[in-house]
Amino acid sequence: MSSWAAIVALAAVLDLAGNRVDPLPRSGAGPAVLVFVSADCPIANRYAPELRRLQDRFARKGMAFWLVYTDPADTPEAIRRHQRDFGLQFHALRDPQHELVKATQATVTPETAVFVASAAGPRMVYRGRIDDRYVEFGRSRPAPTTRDLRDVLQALASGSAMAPRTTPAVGCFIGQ
Amino acid sequence: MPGLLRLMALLLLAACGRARSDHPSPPPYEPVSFNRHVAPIVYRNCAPCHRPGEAGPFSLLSYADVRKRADQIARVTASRYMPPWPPEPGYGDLAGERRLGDDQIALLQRWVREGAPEGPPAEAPAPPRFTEGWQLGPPDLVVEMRDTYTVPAEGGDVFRNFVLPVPIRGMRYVRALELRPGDKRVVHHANVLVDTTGSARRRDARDPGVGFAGMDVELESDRFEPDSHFLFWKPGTAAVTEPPGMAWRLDEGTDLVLNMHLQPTGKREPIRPTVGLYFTDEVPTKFPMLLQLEHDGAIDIPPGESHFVVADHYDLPVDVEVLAVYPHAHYVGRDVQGFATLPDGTKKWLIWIRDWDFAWQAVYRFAHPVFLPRGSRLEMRITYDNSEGNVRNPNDPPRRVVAGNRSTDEMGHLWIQVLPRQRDDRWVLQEACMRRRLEKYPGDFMAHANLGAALEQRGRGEEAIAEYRQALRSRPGSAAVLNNLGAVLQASGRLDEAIKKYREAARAQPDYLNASHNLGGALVQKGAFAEALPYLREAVRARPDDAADHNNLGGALLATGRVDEAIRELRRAAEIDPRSLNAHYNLGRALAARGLRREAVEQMEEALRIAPADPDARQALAELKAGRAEN
Repeated sequence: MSSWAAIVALAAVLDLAGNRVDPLPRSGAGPAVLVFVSADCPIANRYAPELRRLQDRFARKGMAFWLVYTDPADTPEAIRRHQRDFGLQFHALRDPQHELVKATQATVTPETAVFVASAAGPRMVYRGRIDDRYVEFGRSRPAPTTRDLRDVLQALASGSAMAPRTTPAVGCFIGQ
Repeated sequence: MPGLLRLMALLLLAACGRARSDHPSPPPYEPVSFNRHVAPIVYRNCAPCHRPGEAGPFSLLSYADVRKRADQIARVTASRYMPPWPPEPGYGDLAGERRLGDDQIALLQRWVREGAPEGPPAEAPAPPRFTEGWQLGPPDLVVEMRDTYTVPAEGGDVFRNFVLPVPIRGMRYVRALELRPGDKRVVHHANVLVDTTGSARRRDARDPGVGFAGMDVELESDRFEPDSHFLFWKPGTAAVTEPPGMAWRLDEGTDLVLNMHLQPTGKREPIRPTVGLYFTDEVPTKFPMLLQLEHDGAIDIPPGESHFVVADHYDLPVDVEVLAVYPHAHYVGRDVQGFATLPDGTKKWLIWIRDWDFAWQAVYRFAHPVFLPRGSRLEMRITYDNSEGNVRNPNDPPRRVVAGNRSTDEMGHLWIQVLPRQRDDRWVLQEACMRRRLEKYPGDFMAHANLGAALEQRGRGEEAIAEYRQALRSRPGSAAVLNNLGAVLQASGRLDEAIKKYREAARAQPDYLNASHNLGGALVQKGAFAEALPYLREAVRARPDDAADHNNLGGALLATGRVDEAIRELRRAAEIDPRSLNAHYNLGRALAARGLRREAVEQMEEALRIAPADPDARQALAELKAGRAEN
């Protein structure tokens, strides 16, 4: 896995009020779960109930969940509507310049990146799919056989040691 | 005469764009540009679905739209996931082919590789324009679902059937049906079935909530007419008008049944589909028929089996033209083939889908009717993959899979719409179908029942009686078969036996209208008017707008001396159907019996306007004019 220390200051990651936000955990903070989404991606939207369940289960264990909207066309107003429609009461961020996209090397929505705090700064321990339901465009399982994100969060919550890993995610390409 | 037919749906199919390239292809040294090269491909093949209100998740209506998705477009066109067109090219000449040419795909890749440039603004094509709302213009009749159904936020695909009563008076011919399914991002496909017997309505009543569950619907049918068309909707298809002479018949009291495949989107989605009907006065002259190849009885796939083949065939007893096909399997199906072997041994492909995907099932119409001479063999061959390697396998780990109508069950059907040379050839086709079915399923109730109906139609009463009796051996209480058996006995002059069967039918299913109607008629024929009255009244109560029932009842009332009541029924019959000779004639007699001679004369004159040569009416009129009232 490549070095994640490359993440320096985030200059253009904004909350819905337009304030600069850094969602990555610094020393002492609990893990951060970034979920890259876009309002018009059907695959990402179908995961809304699963994301809600994961947040319900792990937020109370000190993990912070962030929705990262990657499409500059998703305005704060459109994002609020999207969150309301799909019941996603997460902190929402806009990443119009793809600083987080580049730093994590996320390529599609939905894709997730999980960071933990370390002495050297935020360290990414997972990047990839939520689960393996989607195999490729047009090919999906009726139900997932592996719930990757849940397993990662479970391991973090139980304090087990974890080697960083990535999985391929299937979804809507994050455009230029 | 009634039969029990399995119904599937009709199909409407339209082009979402043609496949072959008719656009400029740049020489290797010329840069590819959106305006000159890419826009014509995208606007024609993608934009019909990728625009607001349609099924595509985002719009592709401008350079900005397409530029933003350029990488994804390159990927999904290269893999041929988009535009969705599962049939293998060259294995059946299908209409509305929605498939990019290799050169078009290569061009899209090159454009993206070269940075997805826009090109000179002067070359920008006009953005595509589409018809909003009803594609065929305002329908003659719009039928809406009474209630809204809500698709749950998540879970597997939802298969739901909705019953829409059609509020028409009398019979209409339908030249086109357009389905507006609700949110097209939720509705993956829909079949429309025509239910003339209320069987779906009864089923709906037993299932809680709006509509009833099930991937496939089997309906009882009283007749042949409505089920011989494909009515099908999938994203990107426009409503299709039936070819000239091929309108289909829609009767009063009929229900449309929407058999829908719905996909959860992540939030609850209310849907309320609407159907637009377009009528015509043109009487149909072409009568197609749906043949079904299937062998569900042979579907018993062990877990782990990756090449399980189910095949069926049907030998054509008459010349036909093949108009359309509708292959159908569930999630374990992988490879679907339909072809014909001609009498000279030539293999003629109808369709081949090498990577079957339930989600993209469709009715496929042929670009030109495919002529198949008598003696050709229609064949279906479906291969199933019940291994772990099939990611769509609904069972993890794989389990034994048999035929059934849940998503974890399988099916293997190839519906083929054929047009024989003559309307009555359909009974020959039907007879062959049912005989083939009996080869697959000896003793099968439906096969014997339908074979009986086909033989009856072909004037082979004794054989029909034998088939109906066979059918009753497995289902002694089938009101429809008892009723049919009664009808063929009655037609053979065995009136008492017929009456016995009608009585059994009416007892088996008291709300089965055909039985009370026929029993009433048979008792009238026997002269047992008083005994007929309750059945005739029952028929009129259930079908208050049926002129023939009112006429029958009026005739029986007159015969039993209930003249005033008879006049009321006969007036109603003549009012519903002013062209009914019998209604006017009987009304004339009833009025004469009441001593209303002038009005009686009017009715007889009306009867003679309808049928100038009718001897009974002529004699009655002559007697009335001579001043002799009837009694």
